[in-house]
Amino acid sequence: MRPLNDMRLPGNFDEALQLLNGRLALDGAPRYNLVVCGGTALNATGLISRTTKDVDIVALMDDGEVLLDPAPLPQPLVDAALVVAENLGMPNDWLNNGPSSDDGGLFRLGLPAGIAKRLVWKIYGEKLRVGFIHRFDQINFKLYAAVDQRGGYHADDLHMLAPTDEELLEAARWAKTHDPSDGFLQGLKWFLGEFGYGHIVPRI
Amino acid sequence: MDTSFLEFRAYILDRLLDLLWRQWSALGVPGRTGMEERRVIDPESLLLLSMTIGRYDARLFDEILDWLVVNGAFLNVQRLRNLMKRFDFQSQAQLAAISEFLMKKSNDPLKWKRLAAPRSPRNPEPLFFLKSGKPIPIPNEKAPEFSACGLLRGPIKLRGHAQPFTTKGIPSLLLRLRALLGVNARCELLCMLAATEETHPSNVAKQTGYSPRTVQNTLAEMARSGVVQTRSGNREKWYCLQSGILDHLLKPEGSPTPWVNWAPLFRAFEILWIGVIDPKRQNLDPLTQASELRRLGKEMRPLLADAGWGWQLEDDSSFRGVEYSTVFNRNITDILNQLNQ
Repeated sequence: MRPLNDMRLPGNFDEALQLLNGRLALDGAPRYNLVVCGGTALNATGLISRTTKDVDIVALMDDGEVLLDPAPLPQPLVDAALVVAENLGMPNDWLNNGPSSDDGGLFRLGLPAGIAKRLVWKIYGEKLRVGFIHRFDQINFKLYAAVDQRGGYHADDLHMLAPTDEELLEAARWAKTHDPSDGFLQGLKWFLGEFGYGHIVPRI
Repeated sequence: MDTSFLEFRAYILDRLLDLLWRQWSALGVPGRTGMEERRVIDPESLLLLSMTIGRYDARLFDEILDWLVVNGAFLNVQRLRNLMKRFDFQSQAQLAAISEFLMKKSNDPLKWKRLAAPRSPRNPEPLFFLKSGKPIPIPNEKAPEFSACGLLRGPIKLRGHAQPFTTKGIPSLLLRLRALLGVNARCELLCMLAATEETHPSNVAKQTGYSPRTVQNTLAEMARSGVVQTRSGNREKWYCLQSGILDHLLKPEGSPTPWVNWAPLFRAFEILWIGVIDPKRQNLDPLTQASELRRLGKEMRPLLADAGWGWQLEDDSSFRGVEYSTVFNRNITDILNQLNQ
């Protein structure tokens, strides 16, 4: 576990996660280790500085460092997050499992090998630790999402991450395992071409 | 521990003890003099709050016991039980213990037996605490009535200075009516009728702690005396006092009887006190502490509204995060100051 406790999160999320830890402690809840992706993780790890509206949980982790399905989110965590939302005037879904909420989500389709070892952790207290995903895993997720959604802000994030050819190739191979359809492959090739990485398409 | 939170806690306790001493003194407990109580005192609600707050002032607690020996016949035990259950007052063990004690002292032991709680295994704890929250040391010899209820204290030695409640003045009005008419709902109903131009049974039930059916039937009977008048409204019957007949007794100063719905107000204060002394709420970071004060506020707000007293906590949704701590402290300070004026 690589701790990095001086990292700052965007918006109110540091305050929100600090209060979430306090609420979990008062409620006598178990400790939760959240694995977070998306804009919050991009900001926290200093990869990209941009606004974000929520904290995306891609997985939970037990104290033995085994990744767990975050769907459904544990009720004590949901209850505490709702109190935080109310106290800080945030949307009720500020903490969500959107990327892994169902069978088509990232967790159930399979996370990149070794993701757990690459996490960077921030400890908010005895009841809450947040592991932010590594740049390598961001590239994986962002490529998959950019192809799936035909560009959008995921493509912008990917562009700012400036992946190397090898990183993008790894990401393309991982993305294919999520959607082995020919349609996705064609979309992937199209996106890489548009994205300026047409030269790696034959190596996919 | 956060000094300002400790000061806030101490302030709450001091103001609540001031209020309790003032009301009990107005009913004949020898003790503090000072500001005079001018509102009708509800002895059952007063006893319920006193059994929680009085644990931080052993002298007050035992003066109340002394008073109950002299005046306990005029307490309405059924109403006490109803209010405790309806508002979820947390003084059941203390009440069971004083009932055990009064069963030995009273001419009507059966009356107090109804309050004695079924024995349940409970870890014994000290009855009395210092204002700081530390328990008062317990001597080897203990009061068996309290030990039986899981509360540890030394033997009860009453001073025997309590007086019968005064036969004059508004604060003891309810007790005086009980002395005149018996311990029944009519006494609260007369106070309520004297407090308003006219009222309807559901409001009276809410303001007195009796069931709507009891209030409706009793008011209907009282209307047959000619002292209480009735008229039909759209959906409810409205009741009022025939002017002139009981004014000297119920409105000696000519103005409506100052009636406060003490039970919800006192329960709100009990929630406040139990909330701020809860060990898990000490040493919190400012953000989590503000969150807990919001939680207390949410519990208290409907009760303060039911008290119909005009003072309320501000809506917490207008204040973000730690901002609410200041607002809550200010609101509570204002409410307690107002109460002690």
